[in-house]
Amino acid sequence: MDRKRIAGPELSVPPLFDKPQIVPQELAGEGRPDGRSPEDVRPIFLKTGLINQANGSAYIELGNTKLACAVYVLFFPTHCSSAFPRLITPPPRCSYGPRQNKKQTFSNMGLLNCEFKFASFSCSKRRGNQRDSQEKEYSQILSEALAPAVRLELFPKAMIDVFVTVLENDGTASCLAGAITAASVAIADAGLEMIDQVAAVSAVERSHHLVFPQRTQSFAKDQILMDATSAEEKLETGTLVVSYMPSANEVTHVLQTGETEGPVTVQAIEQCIDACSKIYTVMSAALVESLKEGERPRV
Amino acid sequence: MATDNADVFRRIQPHEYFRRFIEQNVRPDGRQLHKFRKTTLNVGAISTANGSAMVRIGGTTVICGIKAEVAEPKISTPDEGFLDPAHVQAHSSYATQHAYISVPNVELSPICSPKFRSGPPSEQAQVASEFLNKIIKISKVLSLTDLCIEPSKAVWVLYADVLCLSYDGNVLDASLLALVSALLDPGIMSLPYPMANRAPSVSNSFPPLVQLPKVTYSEGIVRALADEPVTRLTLYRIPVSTTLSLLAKRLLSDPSDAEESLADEQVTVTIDERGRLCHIWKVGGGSNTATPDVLKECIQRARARYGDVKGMVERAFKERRVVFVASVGDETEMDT
Repeated sequence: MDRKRIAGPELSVPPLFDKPQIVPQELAGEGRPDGRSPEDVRPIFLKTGLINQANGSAYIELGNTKLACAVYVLFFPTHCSSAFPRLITPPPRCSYGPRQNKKQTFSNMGLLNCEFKFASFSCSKRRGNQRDSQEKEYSQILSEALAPAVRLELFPKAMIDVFVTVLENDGTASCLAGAITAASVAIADAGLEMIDQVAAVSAVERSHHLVFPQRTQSFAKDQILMDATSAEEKLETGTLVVSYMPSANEVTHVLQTGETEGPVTVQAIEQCIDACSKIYTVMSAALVESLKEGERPRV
Repeated sequence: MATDNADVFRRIQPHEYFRRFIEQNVRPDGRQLHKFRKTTLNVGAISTANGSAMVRIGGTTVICGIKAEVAEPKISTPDEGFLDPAHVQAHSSYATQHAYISVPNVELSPICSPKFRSGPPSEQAQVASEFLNKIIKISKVLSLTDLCIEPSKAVWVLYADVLCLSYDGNVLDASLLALVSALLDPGIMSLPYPMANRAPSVSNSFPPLVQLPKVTYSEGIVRALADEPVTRLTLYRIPVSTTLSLLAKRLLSDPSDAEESLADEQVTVTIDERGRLCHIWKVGGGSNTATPDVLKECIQRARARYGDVKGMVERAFKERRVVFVASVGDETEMDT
């Protein structure tokens, strides 16, 4: 039992809705409820530096999906500091800063410690305050997707902390994709050296037989919905999250779950890579914007 | 390299650094001693929550989201929900038949500041949660009768989670404002409200504001009626807190993180829309400056602050509903 929070009842449930809130026919039709074409991603809002205590931070909105990311990094030994001018002056009260990696044995590489959390009010069903297995899985994926882009060999024995909190979940796969995108921008905002930015995008794959039982031909295009909302996710048979470094032209992470046909997945990966390149321009614009604002006072 | 010298001075002698500023009636961030930082309020941004609000006070950002669920009251107190026994006695007229449960929790996660670690809530977060819980329950902000679905069978539970995204001091004021605004938020289920033009039925109460789906109870199942107008929650008082720090024998409104960590004493005054006191909390001591006159000054600053906050809340809810209907300024009750 959790004695450190104000306790509610042992069991509580949301009320049952008499009518389903979303009509499945609308979603099974040809278009999408918000008028996007299947390969369109939702409009993105991305801004850095909103969490002023952090070394780097980013806030991202993908349609209704909203999440915040903060990066706390160590301070560099003097011989490195000329390469990272924004980190020479550490925050005055930062007790956290140089964080020794105590858990692991000696490692020549730095460790990217990611913590992914859904706020308790962020999903349609209330989440617990403690991290559950899905959040732990997403934390792991986050660090796997970002590690190839960060030059971890520059910080042996040390840890970089990346915290992501989802404020509103409109598509669970899009939360993960948004987290990777935002964390990448936040790491760059913190002034850490990277090989490239990591853009990520999600797609939902719908089984042909489930969605269009009356049709005989396969329309692969209709089976892939980029950047699906949570309403669209209800009809999914598979999800795909692709993380991609656009300048380096390298895929850092692919996660496919569920059951789909092989050619559909291959096409979905290609569509995701195209979408990542579009997202990359948004990320670059946000970083350029943060540099234009000049040296922010880092409290 | 003058700035570097100032920076070194601040780190080695933080007290002396602040004292020299305060002697000149100004703070290192350029504010006068009685000034509050820029405060903004944004309501209803989170559509997955039944009510939500985001508050920024300077560099402090908190988000409150409310999730409404249904639960059974406790077996030992079938009609009384989950209130403290002392509280049930004090307000027995409310609690005899019905009850609601509200569970405010403040989360100071490591995302907001390097001060906090992941894991169970820190002591500071627990204290902040208890502060909100006390104000909501003991000051009778909500009526116990409003959220009962079926006596001794089903009651609403309001999970109000206050999440700190960026920590720069004065998190209590921000949390309480976010919680109260989220309770006032019409949320996703918003429907045309006739309330804006209607006079309140009880003169000292607010029009019902918070949305909850209309529900029916039968055979142990609570069903929500999606097409029906929502049940609304009445707030009987709108408490707003004001935090002041005593530093170098002077009173500083709305302390930042640096000021909070150096302060000798801290006072949090919570008042409602009629200027009545809800809660006073003073911690620290030994500086020999917190005289009764200073405490009166704290209450006066809290009153002045209430006016500003009220204007901000009204702007945030503009064209959505009337928040403040009772006339403000019933000052005689609390004349100092």
